[in-house]
Amino acid sequence: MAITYDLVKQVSADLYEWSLKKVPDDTLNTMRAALETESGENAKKVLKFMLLSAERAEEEDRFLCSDAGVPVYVVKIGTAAQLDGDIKRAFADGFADLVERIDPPILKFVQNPLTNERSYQGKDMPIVSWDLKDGADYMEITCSPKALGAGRWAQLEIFVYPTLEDIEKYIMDCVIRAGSQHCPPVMIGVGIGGSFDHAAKMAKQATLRQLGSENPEPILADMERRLFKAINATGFGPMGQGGDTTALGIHIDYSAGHGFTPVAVCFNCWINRRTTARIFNSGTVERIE
Amino acid sequence: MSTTHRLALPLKDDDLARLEVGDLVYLDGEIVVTVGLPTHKRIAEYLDAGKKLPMDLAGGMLCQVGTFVEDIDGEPTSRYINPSTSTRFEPYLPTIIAGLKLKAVGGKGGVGPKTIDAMRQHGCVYLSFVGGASALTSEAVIKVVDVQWHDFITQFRLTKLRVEALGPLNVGVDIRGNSLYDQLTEAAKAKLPDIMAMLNRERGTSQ
Repeated sequence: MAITYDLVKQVSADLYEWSLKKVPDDTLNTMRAALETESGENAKKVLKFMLLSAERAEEEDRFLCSDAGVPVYVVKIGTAAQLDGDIKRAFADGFADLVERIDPPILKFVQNPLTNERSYQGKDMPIVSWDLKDGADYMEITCSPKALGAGRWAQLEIFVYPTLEDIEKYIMDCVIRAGSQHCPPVMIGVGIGGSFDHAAKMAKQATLRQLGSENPEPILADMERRLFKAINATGFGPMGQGGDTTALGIHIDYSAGHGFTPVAVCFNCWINRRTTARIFNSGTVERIE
Repeated sequence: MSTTHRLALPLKDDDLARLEVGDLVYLDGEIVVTVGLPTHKRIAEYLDAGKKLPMDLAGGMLCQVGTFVEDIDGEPTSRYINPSTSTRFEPYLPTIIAGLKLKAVGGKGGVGPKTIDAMRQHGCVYLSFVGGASALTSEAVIKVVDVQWHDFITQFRLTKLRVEALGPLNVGVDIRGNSLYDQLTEAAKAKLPDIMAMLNRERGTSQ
């Protein structure tokens, strides 16, 4: 038995479809909790409407948003996993299959940045980050599609020997620049250190961590707690209605690097699209969320 | 104190005068939707050239809202709708608002300063949809009235929809040019020194 082209094609496509129709449970629970503490009357109404709409989408197999974004995957291949076939091609073929079969149909969102033409396919699409997982006998695939609404507000700046205060000020500036255009309450990911490319990847992957989980690095755990309070003190609120609920959470990762310290900040809108499954050597597929 | 309104389209002047930023609105009537930047560009070009648009938009509501329309039993049917980011249409919205005397623009996240100026001059409001809430928002659509400019991809076409109780939409900009988004951003900027002081206190360090 092995992890085959057919399985990867099927599972990667399913993950994308599920991510378009269901808000992750941790996100819904965080929003329900926010509804209890939110002080803005209209902010409460908007949060309730979001939660009801998410429930309706799940019950009736409908889209959360009309914008399906583009498929983005994070793949971790176990070093004991056995692969069979063109696994890289399976992602592109799975996307093409999904476009044919998904109901309701998705719109054309894959844009060529050189010509602005739109279609259902394009260079490097789907976007996949590959990684290894020592010892595992499975491939873990996470789908977290991205669209303009939240995607355009991500920022990265290279600092030299920044203090924690410099970093936190930069994050607050990114938050205020985005305002409420990224459909808050948002999930915020931050990557500190490493290199230009690695910081961006850490920021993206930080958004995938479960809400409510503790950062294993105590300095970052504290930073997350105080920034969460700080961001919600800005007052943008759900969809810019004004209120206490601007962020669902802020997750930060770091990497050792050199004296130059990239800080990358990115956002997921409130539907926080994210699904994960594991495909084992046995051919078993386990849906994590 | 925010008010919730149920209003018929096209919006009347006295309705518009009553709307304040932060109010919530539910709408009945016809709206025109498109998320195409090229569509907005073409509307502006038609207006500049004095050409007639393929559907009547004068005095109406134009929304930066995407929809998937397909024929079901011979009837064009909207499968879903949802808003897009309005600020990116800033190069064209002032011309469009002025040329068509629009009473309302719909989308999400607010509009830029030139669009706000045009709204103030022409008595137009900005109504923001709840992003990501397509499942419930789409239930307000009761009919696809007209689709034009089929040379564009589906969500870029000009699509006229009949809606019932469309909302909640948030009054983001009123006819006096007050912008909820500008107010919130200014308020957040004003709070930033205190927020940074709080962060420094909790961190126990500051420079």
